[in-house]
Amino acid sequence: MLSIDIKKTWNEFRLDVAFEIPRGKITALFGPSGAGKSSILRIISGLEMADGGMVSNGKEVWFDNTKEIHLPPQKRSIGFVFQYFALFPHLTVERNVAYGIKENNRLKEIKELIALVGLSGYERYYPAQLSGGQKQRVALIRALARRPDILLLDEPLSALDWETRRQLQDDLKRIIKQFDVTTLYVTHDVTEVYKLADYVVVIESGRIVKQGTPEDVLLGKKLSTRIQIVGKVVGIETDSIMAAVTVMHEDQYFKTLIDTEEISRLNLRIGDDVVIGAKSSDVILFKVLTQS
Amino acid sequence: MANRLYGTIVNVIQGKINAHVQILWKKTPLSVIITRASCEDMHLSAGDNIHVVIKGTDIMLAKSFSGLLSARNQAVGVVRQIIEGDVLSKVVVESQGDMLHAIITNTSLKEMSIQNGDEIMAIVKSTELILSKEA
Amino acid sequence: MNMNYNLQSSNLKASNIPGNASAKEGVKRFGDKRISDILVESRKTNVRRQRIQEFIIEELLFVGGLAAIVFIALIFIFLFKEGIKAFFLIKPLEFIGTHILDFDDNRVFACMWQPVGESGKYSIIPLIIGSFLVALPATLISTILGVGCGIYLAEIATAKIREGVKPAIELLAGIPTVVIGFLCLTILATYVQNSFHTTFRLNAFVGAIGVSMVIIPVIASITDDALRAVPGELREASYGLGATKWETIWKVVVPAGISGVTASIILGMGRALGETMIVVMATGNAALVTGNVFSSVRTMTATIAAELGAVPQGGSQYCALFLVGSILFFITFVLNLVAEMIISRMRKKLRL
Repeated sequence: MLSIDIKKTWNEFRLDVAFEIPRGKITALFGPSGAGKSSILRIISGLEMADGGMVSNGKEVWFDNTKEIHLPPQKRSIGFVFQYFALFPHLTVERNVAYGIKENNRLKEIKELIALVGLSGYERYYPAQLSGGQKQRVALIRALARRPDILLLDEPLSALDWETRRQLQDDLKRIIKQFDVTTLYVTHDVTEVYKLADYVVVIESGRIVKQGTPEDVLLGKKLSTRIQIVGKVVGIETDSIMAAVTVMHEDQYFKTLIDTEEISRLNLRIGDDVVIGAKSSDVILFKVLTQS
Repeated sequence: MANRLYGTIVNVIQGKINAHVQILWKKTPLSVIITRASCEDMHLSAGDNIHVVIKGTDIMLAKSFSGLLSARNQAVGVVRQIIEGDVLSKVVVESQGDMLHAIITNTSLKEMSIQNGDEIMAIVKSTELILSKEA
Repeated sequence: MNMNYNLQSSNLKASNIPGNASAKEGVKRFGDKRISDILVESRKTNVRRQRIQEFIIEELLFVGGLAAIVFIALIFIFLFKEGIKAFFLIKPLEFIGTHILDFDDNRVFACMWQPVGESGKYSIIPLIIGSFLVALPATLISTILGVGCGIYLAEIATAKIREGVKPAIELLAGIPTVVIGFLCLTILATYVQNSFHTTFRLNAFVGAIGVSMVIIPVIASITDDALRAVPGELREASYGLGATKWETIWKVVVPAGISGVTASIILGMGRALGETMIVVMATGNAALVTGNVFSSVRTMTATIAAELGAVPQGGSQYCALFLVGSILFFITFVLNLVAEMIISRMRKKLRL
């Protein structure tokens, strides 16, 4: 269990959060960009220092302002995955993965680790020779190779195109679960929260707005419709009675019709994340005819 | 989802695929059909308070109606407001203190000559209703 | 490419105007023409003017670039033209060595640069040795100090220290070399002789230290720039994987910035080979064939600087000096070429 209580002030912005990350679970830190999510991650990892509060991993205190404890990042049992991969360009895939391993006898595992992320045969490739998705797989297994207590991921998928992203979402979950590592996952993508997180902490302008399971926090199982599609509002057209709201989900657009009053009641704007709910009995299906 | 009615679950009957949730909204009984899976996910049981969400376009209006109707949900009310659009119009019906927003075609509005203060019946099939735990 | 893009976008804007104007305010007229049409035309003239401007600037830059290449080519041609004449005046073997009589009257083959007198000796071997005997130790000293300094500036120094130290180092590069030569000649030479008990007071080592003074700032400054160009995330990733600050510097930052560091060292070596005034003053200028850094040496540059002003034009010595210059030119050219190749290969591999 990682306990966090962080206070930090930048010019106008004030970060003040306190929460706990359950052991062996994937916790998503969710909120709009500029909410302070990444700063929380950096303070936990020790790359940045908070003005006050404390960070402790179980009984091990990593940061305590009152006792003037500030463990450097290398003394904290963490694995960090960055948005832009941050692979060492002068090292091969296997040397990148080996970087965090201190015990020589564990170097034999590297081949298996690389196989785990589906990159067997790429051991001697340089990062420049890999695609974005492959790079992030290497970065993930590199962070996990030293068997950290805490895995920190800072928007790991946001630099990738949606197709790679969807593939990696599933792999990410599988691999993290396999390592049974306590994970903190920063994202502003609601789909990722649904797909990956066991627990979600919603942050807005430096404060926790709510927290709980994704279902509790983000509707989901609070609604009886079986069809629930998470997406972003990309278009709103209104007349006096009905409004057409276009929602983008991955590469697909859904045009929905709702009561115009709902737009103002929900304060719906372009860019908002929404869930499309539809009753299963309201759909019709067409069989796709393949040419024989 | 303009209409949210707050009620109490009276009974849940689970079938193989569907579940029939009976709800009491003030004095009017409502009947909702949802999938069994949703019913289990939401942990619905008798005694729970719940929101019933009704889309305005799913509401049917009937004026001086007599006869038998298969639709389970029927509520009697009074027309309080009419907003006319180019094709569709919105009729606000007050029933048991709650406002129901029904969206019907302008043609129906004219044919039925619905006017403020008219007594009217709002009708919804139970398969159209959605349940929500969200406030 | 850029120019085309600008053109298109301004055309697009221009074509939008009539639609907007007429839709919002009806069609306003000015004489026979619609105001919107006049707007479009004025935009078009603007675009044309912009296009001409860009064309002129592009051509000027091209001519400037071409001029630099032509100048270098001309220098190259002039140098080689004069240098090649030496082969007609002096037997090619003599550039390596001549047979002379030693003290016991034995005929021996010796490499000597002794251009004065009846039978001038034109072996360029001692000059090349001299040059490298100064340049190599100078490069070694300044690599250690310069790269160290660059690492300190980029990785360790606080912003405040950096602000003070970096300009100071760059100022060092601005000191006239004659001043450094003077200090080497008067103070450093004595100090070196006293501490190493050398035979020659002025020697290659003294020259090398003097030359280092000039190239340390070059290496330090380029190394600093190269390391600071390494993305911060790589450092953080290294810390996040349990590496200490030193491990991060040696295993990540320096290797990731190695192309810049290598470039700075090779550039520094080129500077060391070409440095003249310090070596004229500090190395003793005796053309000896030796491997001892504490021996007096005569470098190629010092030879040209000291002798070219005092020889008759077109004579054997005159041409021999041009040959020395050509060789120096060639060596530095090859050095730079190799550096370019190393760097571009590393860049390709690392794709930083």
